[in-house]
Amino acid sequence: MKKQQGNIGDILSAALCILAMSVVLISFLNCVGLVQQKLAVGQLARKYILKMETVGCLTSVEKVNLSRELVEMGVTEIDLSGTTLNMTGYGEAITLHIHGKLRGEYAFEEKRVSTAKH
Amino acid sequence: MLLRKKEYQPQNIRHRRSCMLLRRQEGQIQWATGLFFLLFLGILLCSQLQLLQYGAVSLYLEDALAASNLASAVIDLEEYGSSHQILIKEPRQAYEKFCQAVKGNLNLNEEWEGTNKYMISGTVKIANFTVYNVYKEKVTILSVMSDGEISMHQGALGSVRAPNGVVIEATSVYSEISFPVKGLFNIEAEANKGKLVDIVAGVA
Repeated sequence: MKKQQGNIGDILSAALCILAMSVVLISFLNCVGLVQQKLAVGQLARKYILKMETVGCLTSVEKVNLSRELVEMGVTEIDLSGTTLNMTGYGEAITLHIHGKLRGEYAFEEKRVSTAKH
Repeated sequence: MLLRKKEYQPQNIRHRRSCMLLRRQEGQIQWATGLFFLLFLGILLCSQLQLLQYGAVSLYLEDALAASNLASAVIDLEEYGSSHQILIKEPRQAYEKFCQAVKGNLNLNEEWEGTNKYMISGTVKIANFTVYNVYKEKVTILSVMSDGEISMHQGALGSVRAPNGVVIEATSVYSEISFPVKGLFNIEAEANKGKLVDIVAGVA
């Protein structure tokens, strides 16, 4: 039996298309992951602003817990400056301000404002 | 003999040429199919990403509105102390607190424009701010207009519904905002988001 002559062009076109599709798919999954992480940070901020409402500020214990949970989510360079850390009275404004980086690269800012209800 | 050879040669070349053309066409079809699938996948993923982004923005706005509604719900403590009824007696003050909270929660500048243009591409407007005070079997509806004017109505408990269709059963705050959003290819659309928050006493 004689072996048929192959054409490198046929394989090359298919391989290039598969490679391009893989690149597109990977970048899509990367974007989705980032959006999901940001959403999770938002939910965490919501949880802590509700806690702050009932207390009147972000207590030192809650501050540590929040930082720990953020680290577990993959947030780096966490900065809580601008957050209400001193006790406030009923109806006064309280703020939770989270700055950080996702995957060590994408900077984000999460801000929640409410009033104390304790 | 020479003539024969001359007769056969053109036929051979024609056959080879047609084979080469056929192969070239096959290659072109493969490329076209591959590129079509690549383009299709790209468009599909872009639309999925856009939908995901809109979903995330919607959730973020809902959170921000809920937090702002809660911020505005400063109840009358004297009334609560004497009758255990939760009432928001100062709707104007509540509206001011709501405005401050919305501005903070959505990260808006002095012109009420979003700093994150991917989410809010223009000015945010408060379309509706209504306080529902429930006292015994009556619901007092206090709507604050953008100019600070207050309109008051009353209804029986169980018959009053918020603009989102939810029956009012406890003192609540409903707010609605409208804002422009930019999508793929810079297509701008006007969006609305409303949220109702019940104010109930916590169980100790």
